[in-house]
Amino acid sequence: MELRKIELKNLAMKEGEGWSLRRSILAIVLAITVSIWGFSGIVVYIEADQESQELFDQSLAETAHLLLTLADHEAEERLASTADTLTESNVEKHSQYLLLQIWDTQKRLLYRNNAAPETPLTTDTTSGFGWTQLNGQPWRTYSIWNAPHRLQIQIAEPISHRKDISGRFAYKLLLFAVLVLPLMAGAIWWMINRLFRALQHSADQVSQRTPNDLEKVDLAGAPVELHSLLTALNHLFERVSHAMEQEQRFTANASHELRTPLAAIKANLQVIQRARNDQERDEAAAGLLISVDRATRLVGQLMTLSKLDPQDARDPALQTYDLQQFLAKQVAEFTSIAEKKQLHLVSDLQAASCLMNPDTLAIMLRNLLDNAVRYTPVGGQVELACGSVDGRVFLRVSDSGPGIPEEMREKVFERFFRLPGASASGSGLGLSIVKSIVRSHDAQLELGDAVGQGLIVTVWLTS
Amino acid sequence: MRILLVEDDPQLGRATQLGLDQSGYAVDWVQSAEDAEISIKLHHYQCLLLDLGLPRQDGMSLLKKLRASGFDESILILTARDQVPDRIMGLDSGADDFIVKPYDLDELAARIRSVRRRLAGRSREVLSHRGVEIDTAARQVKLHGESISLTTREFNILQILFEHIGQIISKDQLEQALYSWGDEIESNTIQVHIHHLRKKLGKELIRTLHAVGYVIDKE
Repeated sequence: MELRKIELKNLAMKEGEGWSLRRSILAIVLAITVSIWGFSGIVVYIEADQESQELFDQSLAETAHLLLTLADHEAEERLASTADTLTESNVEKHSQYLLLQIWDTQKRLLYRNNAAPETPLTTDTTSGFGWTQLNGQPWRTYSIWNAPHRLQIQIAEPISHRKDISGRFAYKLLLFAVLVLPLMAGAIWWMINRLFRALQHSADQVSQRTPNDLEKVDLAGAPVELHSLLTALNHLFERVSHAMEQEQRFTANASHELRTPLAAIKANLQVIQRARNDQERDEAAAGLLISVDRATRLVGQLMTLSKLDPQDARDPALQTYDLQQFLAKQVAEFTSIAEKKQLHLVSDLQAASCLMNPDTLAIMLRNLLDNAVRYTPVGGQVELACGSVDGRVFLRVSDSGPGIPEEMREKVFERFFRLPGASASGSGLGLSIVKSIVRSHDAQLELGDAVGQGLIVTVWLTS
Repeated sequence: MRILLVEDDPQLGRATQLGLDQSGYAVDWVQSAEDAEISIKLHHYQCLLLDLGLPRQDGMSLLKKLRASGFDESILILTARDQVPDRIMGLDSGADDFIVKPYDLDELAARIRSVRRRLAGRSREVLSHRGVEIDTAARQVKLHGESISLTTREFNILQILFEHIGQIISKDQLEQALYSWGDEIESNTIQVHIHHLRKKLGKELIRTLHAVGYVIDKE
């Protein structure tokens, strides 16, 4: 249990190191939010700056016009006016930030306020706005002539005024962002976590299982986006559980099948131990030998079956070989076995070549011939043939044995199935091995009756 | 005791038959349920050893059929199927015991004795009567506390008579119980064994009823 926890922890850590959907979503949402926010902040700032510039310009121009009216009036009253005598009362209030000069047409400075320099603020002879550099900072200037074009008013205002306003604006925007963004990030994080809890719930359903628990994962409560994954997972569970069931049934069957020869081995050994005479001992020893052979054969066939692909998928190692040559080589091995049982082994091999895996096809052939020899009575005949009909390559094993009844022809391919009344020495695995190999060759299998008596097994191979 | 063994595997069947024969049982062996039915009609068996995985007719259905037809001797199931549901089904169908392959021949013999004992309503393997004590498990006989050596056949005859004290057992019944098919029996074989038993255990123990059979009297 402890070990399992540690494993889970390691797994979780590995997940943490990897790519996280949650953190990616958070990062993307935050990045998009911050950039949209930042962009609109800049646009608003620029817009507000321009707006305030216009407002300031307007007020500067209005001030200039007002001053011009005053100055004009004053000058007319005094006629021979000088800059010194011009009253300062009207412009005083602006003196802290506003520079004021009054010039005449001869470019003589008639008046200036305290802060204003003696040089013209702007050399521009026409009316209008302009920029100038004074005391190390830019100033906005405005100049205007009175109607008879005798007096010119030049005023200037420092840029710092305008910057103050837009600076305060920017500061407020920034402050708002700094205060609200963490709140928003928190809200997004909370929301994502909440959504991911549904994911985690599904993940927990799977991760908290024992290896043998292959029940379906409940789709209810899982988000739609997970359904395809969970459905695929459920399909996998189903397949695995089916495979496991088959495996278990196979193992149970295999152990049952092995018990009988083992029982015979044990019984024969005990008979030998307690034998009262040589005849008894010899008989039990012979039985022992046969039982050991049977157990060996059964184990061999079980090994063969376990090596064959359980899914019956097409063998990737198929290559084109000369079937005639291949069978000729194989049949030699069986001649002596057939002779021992006084059977005629006849072969009728025509030229043919097909796709095959020689290793597994040899196993298939051995099982077919083995069956034929086993079930054909003494003096009977076993025939091996190959060739091609209408471009289809066939391999055929026929015998003069008892054959297989029509209604049993499906069942004989089941593992451990033995025909009723068949000799007990067969393992019941031979034909399921044959079937498995036939499938791996993309071939077809046909069981038929021989003329008179016996079984014909035809395998249609692909060329 | 005569036993019918129903087992389709040739090696296991023959070895079991031989092994039980070595333990002093007369065993007939058949390889199918059909042959078993015929044998049971022809002979009287005290015990049936039944394999479940038989060709054509399954052992379980033979068991049910026999119990339905009133066969009430011991039936022991021999099987490779050792799952609990199989056992329960076997025992509920009327089997007396359930033995899983591979079995030990000595254990098999002990199980046979055990079900026979239960059928006879005894709980011990030692039978004693009129100073003679027989241990059916160890196959030993004592007369007044002293061991007497008997041959297998002599012991079997004595055991049958001991299990049926007060009942007359005919010569035919003894022959049926002692010999399996193919055993050579001469007409006076049983008489010879009885003669030897009397010599070893005293003349009074076994009483002969001429032309009827033999009996060990109650008192």
